[in-house]
Amino acid sequence: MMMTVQAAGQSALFIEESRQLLMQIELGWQQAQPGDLEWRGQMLRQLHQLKGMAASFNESAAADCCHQLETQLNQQHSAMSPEQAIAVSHTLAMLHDIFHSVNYVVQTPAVRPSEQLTAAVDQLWQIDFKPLSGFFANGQDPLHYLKQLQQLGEMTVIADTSQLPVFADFDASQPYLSWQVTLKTAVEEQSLWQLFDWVKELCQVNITALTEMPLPTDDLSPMQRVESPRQMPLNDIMRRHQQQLGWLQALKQAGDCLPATLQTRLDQLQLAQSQNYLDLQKLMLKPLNTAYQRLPGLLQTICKQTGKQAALLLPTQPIWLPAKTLDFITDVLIQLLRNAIAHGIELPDVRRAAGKSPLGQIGIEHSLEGLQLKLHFYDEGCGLQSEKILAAAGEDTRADIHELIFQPGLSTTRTPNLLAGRGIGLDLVRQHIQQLQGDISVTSGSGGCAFHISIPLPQTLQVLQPVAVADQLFVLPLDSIIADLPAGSLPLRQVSGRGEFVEYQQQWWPLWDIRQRLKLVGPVPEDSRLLVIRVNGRQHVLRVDKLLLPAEYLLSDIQRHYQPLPGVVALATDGGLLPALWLNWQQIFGERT
Amino acid sequence: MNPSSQWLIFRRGRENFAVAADALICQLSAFACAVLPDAPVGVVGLFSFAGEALPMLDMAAVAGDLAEPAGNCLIISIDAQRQLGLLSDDVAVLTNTLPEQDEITINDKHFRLLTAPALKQLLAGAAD
Repeated sequence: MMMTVQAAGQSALFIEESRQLLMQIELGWQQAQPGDLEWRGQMLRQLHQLKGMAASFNESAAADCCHQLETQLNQQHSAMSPEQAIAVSHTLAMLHDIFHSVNYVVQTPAVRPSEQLTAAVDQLWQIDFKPLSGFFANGQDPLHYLKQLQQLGEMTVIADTSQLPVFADFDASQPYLSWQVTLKTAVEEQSLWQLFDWVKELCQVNITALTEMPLPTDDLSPMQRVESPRQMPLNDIMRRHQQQLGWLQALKQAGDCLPATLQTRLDQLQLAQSQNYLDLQKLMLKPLNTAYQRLPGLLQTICKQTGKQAALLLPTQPIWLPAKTLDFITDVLIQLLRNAIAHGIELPDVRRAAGKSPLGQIGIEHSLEGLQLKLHFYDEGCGLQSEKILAAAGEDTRADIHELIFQPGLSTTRTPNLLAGRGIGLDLVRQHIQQLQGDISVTSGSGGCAFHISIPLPQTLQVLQPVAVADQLFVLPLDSIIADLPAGSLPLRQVSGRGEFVEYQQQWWPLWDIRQRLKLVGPVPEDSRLLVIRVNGRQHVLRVDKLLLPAEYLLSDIQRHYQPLPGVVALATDGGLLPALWLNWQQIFGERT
Repeated sequence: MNPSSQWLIFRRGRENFAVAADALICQLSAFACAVLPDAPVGVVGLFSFAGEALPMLDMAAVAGDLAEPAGNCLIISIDAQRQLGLLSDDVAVLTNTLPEQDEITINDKHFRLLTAPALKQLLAGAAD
């Protein structure tokens, strides 16, 4: 059975409703407790609804998947075994992939605005992609690779469902779907192959040029627009938002002439605009926790394969980041998890003999420092085995094992298996981190091993404290403010050659005046404030005109379109009229004690 | 480089300017910017556009001209990755007139060409 996904005739409404229904089913499935049978009835009803919708739109592959799930759930009259649970998870994942395949075509716009510029170098490619046995066991998701291809240009997809077996023969660990992708893109063949580097052992990929497009005779204008087709509708909405902000600003400037009721309505409109803007941003960014969703299942599968026991500790604090960055991080974490179980966590007997708990702990910690994402991945295993690593590398003891482990082709596993042995994993981890302009380092000891990753994010969302100074806005981390006091309430002293100091709790602290430093003009209000803030473990006092209510801000990297500016961390906007700056106060004011 | 066949002409302060039409992303009402510490002359600050932090250039400030606040803003791309905002007093108009040297002349009015390399130099703080 070959399911050709065609944009024509597909209803966008059907896609949207189906995806929402599938999300509900998946959510119900994730939240179902072992032994709790109540969820089954609801899941069956939802599946039946989805099957009906799919059948009515001729999506026979999706309808078949629903049917298989229904059959499986109907056969269960008691709690599921782990194997049956895995089978349901995999069928749900397959269903997900089918709907995404359909969705790609519906979402891909027919015409791109920069087509005139790019058409000259676009080429048509056929990419046949078939995951092999071991693809799922390695934590891979076919959808991820389809997504990556979709970022490169216009794409149509044919999903081959002909290998789907009858339910009795269904093996949850086997991939049954394959895809034929037609892609119109300007990227070179080598870049297409590179997308599959990570899984070249785990899938069959064939890339064929369908037609040769004429290359341009002259260089393209350097002034060309580059825009991801998927982001276009959102960008258009944001441009309209920007236009509306301009109108709002003009209205606000005429504020004195407006009646008070209209002024209030304008303020409300501005608030609503800000909220819309941030909600839009949340459509373009994704929470980092999404990258963790596949890890528990993967841990369970690998532990079962290896006979090892491990628990996974995951952070819950939400951090928002661009979808593309998230895709890379997901790959990195999958590889680090596989590496931790293959090389770090010992077998239960070995752990017991060493006086450790048989259950090895693996954990991730994450934090945000400005626009820098900090990830710490650790395991309480045996740590880096110097002798084995040096022997595998053929190096003497002077070589740095912390560097050697990232070398391509180096593995301490003698016979390659599904989990390790090809020396690809950590090499690709480092490549991915480098592609994100990030850094990775490793520390190790007898108590285990930890990878420290730092990645600069182009954008993120964060709740920050805004302050106003001379009609300009600045933002500070919420936890940096120790005290907020009226400006006249603290003794102030001028120290020759060292600037102004303020006495707070029997100590003198340097006063930072941003108005003077940035040469901002405008009167200092009588009720201005002094903020006692902690920067890099030391206290300082910042003079501001006004403290505003904390709010969620979109932070954007200034280097993407401008250049690094000493002391400027990011531009912050809440979607309102005036953006704010996040400054590194210490760099702006210099060291003063 | 293929020379652009169409140009957008606009006024800012006492001078007139032209940018390649295919570099234009959109034209908006002018809006407020966050002022930068130690920014080069002409870089009036940063603004947020479609989630990106873009620099705003004021050609009047580059010329040392104390112009009135601008009414409009052109968002243009200067290469495959980077974009900026250019303040303008009026709404930019499209012309097919071919440039000679570094300017376009229409009815004895001169419009100075702002090319991508020139704009990059201004952003970096190089002398105009």
